[in-house]
Amino acid sequence: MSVRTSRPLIRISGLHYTYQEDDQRPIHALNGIDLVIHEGEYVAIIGANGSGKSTLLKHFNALLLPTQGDVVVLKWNTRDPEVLRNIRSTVGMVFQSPDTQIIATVVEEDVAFGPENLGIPEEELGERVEQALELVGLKHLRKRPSHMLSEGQKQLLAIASALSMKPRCLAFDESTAMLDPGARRRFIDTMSRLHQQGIAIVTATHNMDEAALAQRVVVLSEGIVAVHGPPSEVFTQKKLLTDLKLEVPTSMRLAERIGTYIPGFPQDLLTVPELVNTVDSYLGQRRSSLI
Amino acid sequence: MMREKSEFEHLIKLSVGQYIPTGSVMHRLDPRIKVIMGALLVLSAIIIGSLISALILLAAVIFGLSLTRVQLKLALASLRHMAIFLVVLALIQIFTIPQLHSGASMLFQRGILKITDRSLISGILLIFRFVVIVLGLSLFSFSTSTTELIHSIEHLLRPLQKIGFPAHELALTAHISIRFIPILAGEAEQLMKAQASRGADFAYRKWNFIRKIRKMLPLLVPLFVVSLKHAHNLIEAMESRCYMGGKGRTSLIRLHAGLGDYLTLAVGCAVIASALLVSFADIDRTALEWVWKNITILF
Amino acid sequence: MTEPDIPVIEVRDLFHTYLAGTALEVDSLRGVHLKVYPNEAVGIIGPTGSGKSTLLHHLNGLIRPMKGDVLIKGTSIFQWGEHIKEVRMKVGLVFQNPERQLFEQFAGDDVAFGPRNMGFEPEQVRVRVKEAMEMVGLPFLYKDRLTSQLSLGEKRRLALAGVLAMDPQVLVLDEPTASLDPSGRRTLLSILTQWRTLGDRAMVIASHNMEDIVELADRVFVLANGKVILSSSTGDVFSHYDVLIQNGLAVPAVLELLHGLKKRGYPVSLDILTAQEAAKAIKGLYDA
Repeated sequence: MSVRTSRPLIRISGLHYTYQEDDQRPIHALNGIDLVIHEGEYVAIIGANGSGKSTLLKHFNALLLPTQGDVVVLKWNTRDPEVLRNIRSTVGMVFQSPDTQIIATVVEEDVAFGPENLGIPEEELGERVEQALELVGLKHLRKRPSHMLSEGQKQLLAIASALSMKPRCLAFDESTAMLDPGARRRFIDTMSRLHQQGIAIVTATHNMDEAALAQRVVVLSEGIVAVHGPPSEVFTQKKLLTDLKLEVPTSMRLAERIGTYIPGFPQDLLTVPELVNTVDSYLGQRRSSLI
Repeated sequence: MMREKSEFEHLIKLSVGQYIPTGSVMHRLDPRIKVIMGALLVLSAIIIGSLISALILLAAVIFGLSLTRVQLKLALASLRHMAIFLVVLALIQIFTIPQLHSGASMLFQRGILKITDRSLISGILLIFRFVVIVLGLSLFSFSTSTTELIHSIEHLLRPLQKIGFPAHELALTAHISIRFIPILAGEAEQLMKAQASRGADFAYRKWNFIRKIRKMLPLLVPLFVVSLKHAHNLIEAMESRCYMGGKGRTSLIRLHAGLGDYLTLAVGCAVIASALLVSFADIDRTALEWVWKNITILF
Repeated sequence: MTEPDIPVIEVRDLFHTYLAGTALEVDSLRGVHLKVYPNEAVGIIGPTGSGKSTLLHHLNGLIRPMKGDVLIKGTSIFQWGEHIKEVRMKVGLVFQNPERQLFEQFAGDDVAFGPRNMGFEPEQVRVRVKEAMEMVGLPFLYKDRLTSQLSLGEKRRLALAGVLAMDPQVLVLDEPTASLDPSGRRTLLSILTQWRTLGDRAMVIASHNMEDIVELADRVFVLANGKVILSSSTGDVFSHYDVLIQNGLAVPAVLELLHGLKKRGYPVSLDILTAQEAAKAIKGLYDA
């Protein structure tokens, strides 16, 4: 699906956000952001701690309102209190901390919480819960008390609880930061699967390997967009990334090393399997060229 | 050799209720019925004045417990803690309550210590009351999760929502509180461990209550800060899922009371009613005399 | 050095059951043996639920063994009794979540918490706080900042400073770089590497981040199902690719690469840890 021909889902124009705590100095978290998220797109937002990732994300579902500028979801402006329900059922959010985004004491009740709030008729509630749990692979844990889940399962539950509202877009605010590698992999696989179903994915992360899986990477620095584009373009801008205190995906670091020994070795490899394949084909070519 | 516990292993055990899912008949009973019967049981245990009534109630509770398929020893465990306390209270009743002594026949007297038949019955009755209530509450908590409890109270109060009573908001508050007790206990433990790792002393070898409290003070502010943060996160999660109060909400959980549930309610009420009747009929004395007569005949 | 070193920490046949006596009881440690010698850095890796954190909490006496023993500088943890505080000064434990380790309103007071509990005079406390903060790269004038105002990376460093201010001989760290952005992580790793150069210091790191382990640890213990299933030098441990994957562990990216190539029939050694060496090895294959 070509991103350019997709309809815009979230349109952000001239977004500024400033806040002030008690008698501290005002903090300018976002300083003029223009960004469009399209239907079905997979976007990663990266940036150092304090660059404004989380703050930006919370504007997508009107948890925060702009100090200046506009955020429009489909045809609804986030400033309009009448359309909050529309916006929040279109853009679902999954947060970082597993424990504090689970509300109910039983898995299925937590998944039902969102649609219940929307007044979805009772006959439909059961169906939605089942579908959402199925999509994240937790159907068998439907009746489990919510505190008896592993951290990874809790985060998957959080996805299901957002999914049950049938959103067009899911926003992830560093949702894998507290997960161990195995749980993180499962979570990312789920994200990919949901993307394949047509749901737009926006993920704020500081895991570069995760960001490399997106279709588009947006790099934030001090509240503005420093650069954006496909990961192969963004991650090859080494100097810029270093200046912004970011790294490149692990596979690219390895490719860079290999490149110092084998001139011309491709540098835009985004995952380790890709790297393995490339090394394999390089060695294979070399062998055949020697024969 | 008893292992010396470190200072930190107690908080983990904090979790509300003793729900033990065995899938028994009692577990499957509509929780509202259990709530109603539990309330009636406690009330009647307090009201009755007759030993026979107490025996009826006790038999009913023990029967109920057997239906839960939970080991009786677990239920009796809670009584074990209270045993001494109960005996002392009962003895006080038996020996010293003067009002009960009027118009009753003296059974024993030495100095200021008097036992009348009335005070004896009253003392024993006290023990029975406690036992019935404690076992009844155990019966309830073994077979009903806190979630079910909150749902049933919310359902029972729902008609009041029409006149503006925030039944759902209260229920949600209860659910969240239950959910967060173990979480906050875990946070408190983490804070204690972190403080202890930097030299703070939490070991209470000397039984000094004031010192215990003072030791906990440095935890209060950080714990409060942590709780506020959790509350903030929770609010964001709830708002993201369009929570706007109880109005206009539908509900996944619908409690359906079937014929079996209503029958159980009817039987339970009948038992309680009979206990109350027996109490008001005041047939204790005559019953005891009858038993006494027949036992002496046997020997 | 001809004398055999006495381990600064020794764990002997350690057993621990979580929530013992309740319906939820779970054996988290089932006979763990491990030794940490002075001047070495030891990594502990294991899948979630393997008991890593529980093990770490035994090392400074926060938890007592149910069976087995933990010896600090040769003395059993059971013999310290009321002097357990001294163990906690010698073995400094830095927990996973910085926000649960900062209790004072002002940053300086928080770092001073440890030294104050050790009974130092105010002037000595001040010196220790200053040195500790400098070691973690926080300017001393941050001491008057509100702890709540610090960034996550700064909080992590402050928590570390709080432990370093007690001048421990062993530093035990639970997931030291979790949630840090790349620059924060680099800063923390260099602080730890530098601390080791102070001499006569040992370090124990439990982490999911294999790159951290590769960078910091000389030896690694692999914990799975409550037992140590593998214990060797870092390079050797990570060459056991299959064992690690089977037990639900991640492996460093370099190893993923080499293993991927090995599976395709290339004669690569899995004993390699750094990107540099891996690139060299691939170059070697290329030239062959």
